[in-house]
Amino acid sequence: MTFIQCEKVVKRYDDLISVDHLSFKVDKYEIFGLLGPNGAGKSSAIKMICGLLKMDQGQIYVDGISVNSNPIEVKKRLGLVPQELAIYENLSARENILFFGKLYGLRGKDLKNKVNEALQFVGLTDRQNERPEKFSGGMKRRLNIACAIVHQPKLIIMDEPTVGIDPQSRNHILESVKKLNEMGSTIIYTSHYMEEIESICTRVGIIDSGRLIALGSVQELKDQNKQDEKITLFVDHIPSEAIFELDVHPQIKEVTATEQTIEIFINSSQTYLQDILFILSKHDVKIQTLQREEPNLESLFLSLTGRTLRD
Amino acid sequence: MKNIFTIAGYELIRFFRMRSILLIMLGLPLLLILILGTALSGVFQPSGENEKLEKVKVGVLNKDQGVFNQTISDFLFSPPIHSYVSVNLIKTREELFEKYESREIDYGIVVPADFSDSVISARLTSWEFIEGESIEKNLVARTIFESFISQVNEMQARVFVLGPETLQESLFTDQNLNLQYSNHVKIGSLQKNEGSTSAIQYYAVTMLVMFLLFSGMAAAISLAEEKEAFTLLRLNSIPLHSNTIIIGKLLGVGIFSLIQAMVIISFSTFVYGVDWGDDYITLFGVIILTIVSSTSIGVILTSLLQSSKSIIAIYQALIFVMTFLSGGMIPNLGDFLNSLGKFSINYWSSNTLIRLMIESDSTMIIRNMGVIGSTSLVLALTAGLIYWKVGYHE
Ligand SMILES: Nc1ncnc2c1ncn2[C@@H]1O[C@H](COP(=O)(O)OP(=O)(O)OP(=O)(O)O)[C@@H](O)[C@H]1O
Ligand SMILES: [Mg+2]
Repeated sequence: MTFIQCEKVVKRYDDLISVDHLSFKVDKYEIFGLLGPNGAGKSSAIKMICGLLKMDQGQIYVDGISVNSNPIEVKKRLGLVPQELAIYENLSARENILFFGKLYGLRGKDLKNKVNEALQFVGLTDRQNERPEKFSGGMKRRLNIACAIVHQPKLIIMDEPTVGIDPQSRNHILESVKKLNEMGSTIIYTSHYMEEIESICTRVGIIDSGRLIALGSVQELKDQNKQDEKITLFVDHIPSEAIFELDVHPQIKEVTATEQTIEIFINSSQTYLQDILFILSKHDVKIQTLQREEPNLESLFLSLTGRTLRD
Repeated sequence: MKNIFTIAGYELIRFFRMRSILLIMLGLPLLLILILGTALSGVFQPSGENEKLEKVKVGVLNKDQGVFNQTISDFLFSPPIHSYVSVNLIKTREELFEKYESREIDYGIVVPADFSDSVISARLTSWEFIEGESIEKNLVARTIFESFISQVNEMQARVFVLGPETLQESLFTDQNLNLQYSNHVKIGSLQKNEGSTSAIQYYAVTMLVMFLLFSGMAAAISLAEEKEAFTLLRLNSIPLHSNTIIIGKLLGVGIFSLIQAMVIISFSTFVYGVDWGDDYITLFGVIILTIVSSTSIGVILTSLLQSSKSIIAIYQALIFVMTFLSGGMIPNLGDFLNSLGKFSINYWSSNTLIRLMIESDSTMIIRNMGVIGSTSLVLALTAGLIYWKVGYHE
């Protein structure tokens, strides 16, 4: 059952098209990932879904309701975790959640219970009376999430909820996204980390320069890119002539060399691994280890755009 | 509706937790009144323990040759001054510094040559104080001589409220020319004399009005910070009716300013015996309308400027200019600047408050209220229009 429907949505800032005829659907109870590099238009797309940004063209429906004509009804169904921390530094964690809970119309016992649940959920019960000034980056991120889920919305939209935090907090957040989904929420999750998207999302849209360049389940996207593999070689030294020869090989898409590692993206490594080894031995390069990686969303992005996700 | 109160309530909570805001809005006016009050009410009355104070040797270089020349020397050698200070008249600046170096004097004062002229034409003026090594002696000297300057300022204030004619009438009567110097280090008279008010009454009024204007700045800062902290983004993602956010926030600021006004009024009443008159309703009205004008300016500025830093800078300049124009409303600067002063919010609010204190003619008060009311209406409508056009979002 379709819960969110974007139809040819366009957003322009003067000359710049930040969202370019974006169309996709999200079913109920999905975790839908939007993957794209910085400036791809993820936040712009999300703000339009939430009714925070006027679109120049197109339509968005949430639960069958048009965002353009009835933003308030749409807003009632969602909780937004903004990309930036959106909390009050001089209110305690509990007060922050209470404030937003009240504005969502919660009152009395219901409010109290749901605030407690939200605190519990993000693991801030022990620190609830402290102000975020004293919190670590990860704790602030968790509070940022708690403020958006206190009213237990049907749709939770998270815009890069893990930027700038330690791996432990990140795992905690990823786990809680899954849990929220199991508890019945539909989730839209943006990131420029393909690992995050791969590990939690049921379906993924990859966007670049405002355009959707791939759409499907994680497995579908990997299959679409079957022949692309990544080979990583750890070597004793790297002569530039060797890199040059690798680069001009017709089946090798990209070569990057740093100190002692060479990364090679290639079509069907079985067939051409010999070529690589031949070139390297010709230049007296000793190979210490060799890794072959299955295709992933990163390599898909590379083969679609010729660039990596992170610059 | 409930949401408006929720937003206003939390706005208040956050205001009371912001140390800088608390300091500017509550601490500073109280401190200023305290300082001015101390300077005027003469903590150094010739009684008991204070007499043990060693006299301060003050070197005075009086360059002024104007109408106040005599007044100044009368003041310097008046008995109450004499019990704290021994005055040493000095001819040149070099001599002053020589005596200062050789410790013949503890404290130096230079009366500028244009002092009398400045007073009469109501320009800001002061004496140059050269502080010595003893903190205590500096304090004594400073307090005494600043209280003299305050008295002079009071006369300027009288010009400000009752018009330049009073200056001509009263300044040159003997009694006023002598500036009642014998009172300087005693309690400044706080009671209502017919038709006139003491300096502390004026300061209480100008402080109140000036700091009510800061409430507009607080509103502007708060509106801008909500954007900067991205909490506005979150608020806008919540199903609230349009205008709820801004009305709630402005209501919060308004309530905070009312509390501020109440604190300033009660503090000045109970600690300094300032008499705000009996017409509390009009007093309340002036305060409310001043807050409305000031927050409207805040809203207008927020829509024009992006960062809270530039808002603070512009707003402070604005308050300064308005305070200057209203206080420096001067006969000698010509009719043009005179009438310009009347365009400031300070002028009308202060003028009305002082008229309430001295229980002036009610037709004048009603006329003033009309001006204040229409000003705030126009400002509020402008703010509303701009808000309607630009909206309040990130
Ligand atoms: N208010 C604005 N005015 C002008 N240009 C903007 C504005 N907001 C976004 N843009 C531009 O639109 C494009 C898309 O921005 P957006 O924030 O949606 O990207 P993003 O995918 O969320 O990037 P990031 O990963 O950095 O958050 C960018 O080129 C950005 O510079
Ligand atoms: Mg973004």
